[in-house]
Amino acid sequence: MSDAPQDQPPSPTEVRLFGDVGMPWRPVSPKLATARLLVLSVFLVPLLLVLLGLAAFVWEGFWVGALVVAAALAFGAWLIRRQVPAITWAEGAEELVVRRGRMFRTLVSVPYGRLQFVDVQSGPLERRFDMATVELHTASPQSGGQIPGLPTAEAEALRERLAARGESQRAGL
Amino acid sequence: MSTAAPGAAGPGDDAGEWRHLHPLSPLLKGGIAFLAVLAYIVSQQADSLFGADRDDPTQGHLGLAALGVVVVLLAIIAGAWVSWRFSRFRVADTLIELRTGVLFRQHRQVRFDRIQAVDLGRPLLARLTGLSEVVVQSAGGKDSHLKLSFLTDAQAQQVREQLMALAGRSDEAAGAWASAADEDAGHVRADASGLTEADYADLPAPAPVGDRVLAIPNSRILQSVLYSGPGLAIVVAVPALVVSVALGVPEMVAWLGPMTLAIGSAHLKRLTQECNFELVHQGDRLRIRHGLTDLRTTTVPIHRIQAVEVSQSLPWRLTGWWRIQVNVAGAGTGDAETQTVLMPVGNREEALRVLTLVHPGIPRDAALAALEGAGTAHGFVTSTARARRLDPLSWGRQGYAVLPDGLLTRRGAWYRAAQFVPHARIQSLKLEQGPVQRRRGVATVRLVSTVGPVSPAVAHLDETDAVRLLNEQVVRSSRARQRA
Repeated sequence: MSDAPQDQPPSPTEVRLFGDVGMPWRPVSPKLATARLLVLSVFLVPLLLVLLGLAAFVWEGFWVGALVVAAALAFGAWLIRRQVPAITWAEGAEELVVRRGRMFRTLVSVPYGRLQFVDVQSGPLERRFDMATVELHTASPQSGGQIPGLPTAEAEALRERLAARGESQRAGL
Repeated sequence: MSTAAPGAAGPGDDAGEWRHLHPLSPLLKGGIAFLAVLAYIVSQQADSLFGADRDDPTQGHLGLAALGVVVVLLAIIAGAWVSWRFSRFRVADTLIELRTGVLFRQHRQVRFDRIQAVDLGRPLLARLTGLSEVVVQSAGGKDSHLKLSFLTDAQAQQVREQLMALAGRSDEAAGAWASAADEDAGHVRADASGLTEADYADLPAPAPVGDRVLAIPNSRILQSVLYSGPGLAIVVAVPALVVSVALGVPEMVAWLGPMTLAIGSAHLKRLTQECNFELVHQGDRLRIRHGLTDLRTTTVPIHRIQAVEVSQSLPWRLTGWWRIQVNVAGAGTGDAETQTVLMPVGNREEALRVLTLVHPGIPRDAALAALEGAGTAHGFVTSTARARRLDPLSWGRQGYAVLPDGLLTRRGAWYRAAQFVPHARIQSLKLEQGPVQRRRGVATVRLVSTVGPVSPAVAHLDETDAVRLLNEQVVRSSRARQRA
């Protein structure tokens, strides 16, 4: 208690909200953008085609709808292209840090000692692209970080490392 | 009746015998529904018995109807007996176990080092029959409670004391616990298995030791509920309702009525929960007693408290009242919200007393600064002046201070609140920045605690301050965890 913690120097690897300095930041798989684009187009492209058909053969008013859907598609694609590279993560000495978002940025820092369990999930689409989602769970449901679109091998390796670190730095609730 | 239940050769060790709950439990659990059915049947039959009912529903077959009622009653009692016979619990060396169910069997275990709090509850019906239920809370998320309902008052007290004595050890001190367990094992075992059901039925409840920290008079609880925005609205709305009914204005009643009912019932619930409030400090744990009809006693080990918040709403500024709530893992996930309230209402001195009881490491001047202060005195780091546009009133107040044991945060100019989280209890840290914040160079830091009413955060810190807090806190928390 007497060793005033604020006097000690901060950890050598600094967390930063932006940029690549400080910690060894790693991006997620760029294929995540492809997968997300695929999901988006599965929903929007058939709708767009139907609206185009209706506009051409039934009533001209449907052009407006087609335009709106096309705009949504373009905006979604632009957003995905921007968002996916913004997801980065890094392993520090004490914690795992996940950053995401470009407009609304969030940074979650989860200490290894606080990890209760780690989920590795992979849906059919993700499996197709050889990716998995790693989810970190602490005792609080709101505090876990999530890293989507990690290459499967990397996700498995990360899970192993986290399990080992969590065991060595484990603390009670 | 044999005390050793069939199937006692379960997994685990031989310490502690399987015990049954109180025979009345299934009927009490069915409770009011059972009584209502019974009353309905009786009133129906009474009508026909005394011949007051002209068109007899049994159409003359009174004997058959009576037989039917008897059969139904017997079936209920038999069902209750079977369900009672098959639910039993035991306190073993390292855990408490409960088996229930006939067709769908359930076997629930809670390890002592995972117990977060122990509740003693006396709902109205149980109170009339002199029974209590023991609720063991663990941190397993939704529905992770082990509920022993019902035992006699003395038994319930005894089980509670036993559990708390065993759960008092923190799991951080795992090594110490192992050695202590060896020393205590003999004595505990004697406690658990030396007594049979008949033996401890008339055992006097252990004398409650410890000093009473708070006892809130009910009049003040009533006042405190009225001294809130919705409370004042009720005070205005009820006469308005009466007048509009008297004058016959249906439009007014149509919207005033439901509104009053909705707000009123919520407040009435709070009132009945917080009545008879008493906080007792017993060594390393706190005992909270509260409730008007459903009298509950919650016992929380102090080291299980994850975060604490002292808050004051605007109307309470006039009376100088504060409210203290805590996060305890596993508590507050159900409907019983008051388990997380350490002080429903109290003045500043009482608030400080409770705060230093929970965390003795908070200096008085720092606590005072957190409650009512502003600016950078006492080591507080506050939002920058650049956040003035975002928080015109509270930018100079919201901030944090690093204490040796934990992080003290404060916020709100009108609705004042201050939170304290021990370094070792922070689950994770979150930094957020939206586009407007980015333009002003500020960011919000959240200290994520377990589920509960307290969610400490510092809004609109200077970007460098926020990043520094994050970086330093990771190190501080990790050190504190290792030291604990």
